[in-house]
Amino acid sequence: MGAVSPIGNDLQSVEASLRSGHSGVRFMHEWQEIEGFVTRVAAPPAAGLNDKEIPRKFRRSMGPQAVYSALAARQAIAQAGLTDQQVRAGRTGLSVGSTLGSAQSIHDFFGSYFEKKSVVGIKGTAFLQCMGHTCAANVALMLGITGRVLAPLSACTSGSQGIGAGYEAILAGAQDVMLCGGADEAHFTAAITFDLVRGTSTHFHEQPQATPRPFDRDRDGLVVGGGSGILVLESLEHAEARGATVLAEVIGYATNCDGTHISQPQQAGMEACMRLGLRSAGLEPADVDYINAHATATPLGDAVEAKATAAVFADRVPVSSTKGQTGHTMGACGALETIFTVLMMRGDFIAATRNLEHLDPECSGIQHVQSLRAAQIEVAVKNNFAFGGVNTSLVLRRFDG
Amino acid sequence: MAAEQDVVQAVHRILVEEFELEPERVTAEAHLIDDLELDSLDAVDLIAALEDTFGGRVNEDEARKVRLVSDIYVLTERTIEAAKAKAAADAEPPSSQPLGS
Repeated sequence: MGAVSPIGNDLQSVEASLRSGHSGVRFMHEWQEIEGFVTRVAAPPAAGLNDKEIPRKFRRSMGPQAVYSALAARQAIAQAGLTDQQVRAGRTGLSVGSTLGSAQSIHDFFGSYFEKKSVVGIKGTAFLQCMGHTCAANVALMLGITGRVLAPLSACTSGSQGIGAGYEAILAGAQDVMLCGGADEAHFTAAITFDLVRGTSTHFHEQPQATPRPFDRDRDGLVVGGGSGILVLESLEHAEARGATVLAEVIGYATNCDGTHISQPQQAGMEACMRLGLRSAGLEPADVDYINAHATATPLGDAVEAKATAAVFADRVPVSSTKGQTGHTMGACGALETIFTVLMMRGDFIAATRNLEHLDPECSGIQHVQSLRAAQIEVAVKNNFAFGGVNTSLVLRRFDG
Repeated sequence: MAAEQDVVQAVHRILVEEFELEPERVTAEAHLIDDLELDSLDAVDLIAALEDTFGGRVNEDEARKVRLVSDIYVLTERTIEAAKAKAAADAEPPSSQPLGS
């Protein structure tokens, strides 16, 4: 696994942050000049990232989000112990998504064009940074991947659908190894998207780390975050044959659509997705020890998710949302939060939902984790829900060898 | 004829800063592909950088013939000259035409 995130740019820092409840949210001074939009808080990746670790010949076609995914991918490959030959053989593929191409690069391209009414001076690599599959293509090129390259662009479910696509490719025997995940940038255009639908947090500018507040009575919207999560998935046979250390198992996956509203989540669709995920794993709700929620701290979203989760799991299963610490990393969240869940599984703990101080009664009915707790997680569920009513549910199992 | 010093320095800066080449490798005789490992995508970006730095439009046919760093100096000077000539032509008043037959 590899992570670039608001709470750390390596797995050790990330785990320490999950345990301490550290927040990566800050006030965005650089956004102050932009008229017409309100939110001023975001969670960019933690300090200390060095994009020059990526050689220029690969970096030239990468916007920031592709850089994040490239750095995370290198961490993941290194931890997995895959050789160059194994990565380049046609049996290794990749499925890495994001909401769009690089928001920064798109902004720079159109900013230049609208100002000058000309494309003179715009680099040939500009589009390669802006195109939808920029993360997938760039990481594949950097690593020399010759297997299948997929790029699920489904906003908040890009990362989880990336994992699901990798899982299904391996199950089908089409690939032995899949690098899976997602990436996104904490760019103001992303914040504006949510700001325009009154979905961003705007009341905590004086105390940025008090937001977002998933499930909390005083939550007032989401905080955009940036980063990338990449996981190496492979068949157990392949992993064992090469003596790899297996961190966890993906034992179930489901994705569906609410089919109802472009932006408002629907309980029925979310519930169905969770049940399909459990069925694909051959498990019952009672078999689950922890749920990592999507909960972005929007007033509506959290309440609907809580009701859907309660309908399937009642209050028997501890639930937390790590977005209280990371904000909503959008295309990256499904992958980053799966990584967080695996870290918790291996570290025998459950991270609390930061900023959940007074539970909103509309979010009751499930077992909320409000402080760090020790726990033996055998099976975990990772849920994510996106605009368009796209839902995903991943089922993970501890692997003890 | 030796290239103007400011053109040499500006081209050198572009190659070192934009393309992250070690300064000592960027000599007038260096071959862009064989010595500096630039490719066709870099060529497009080089043209964009030259136009951005010096103004004017690089002639694509001439650009295609560039092989050495010293060829870039020549290309740049020609681009500057062409831009000056165009600016002068654009500044002239339109020649008067008699009306009627």
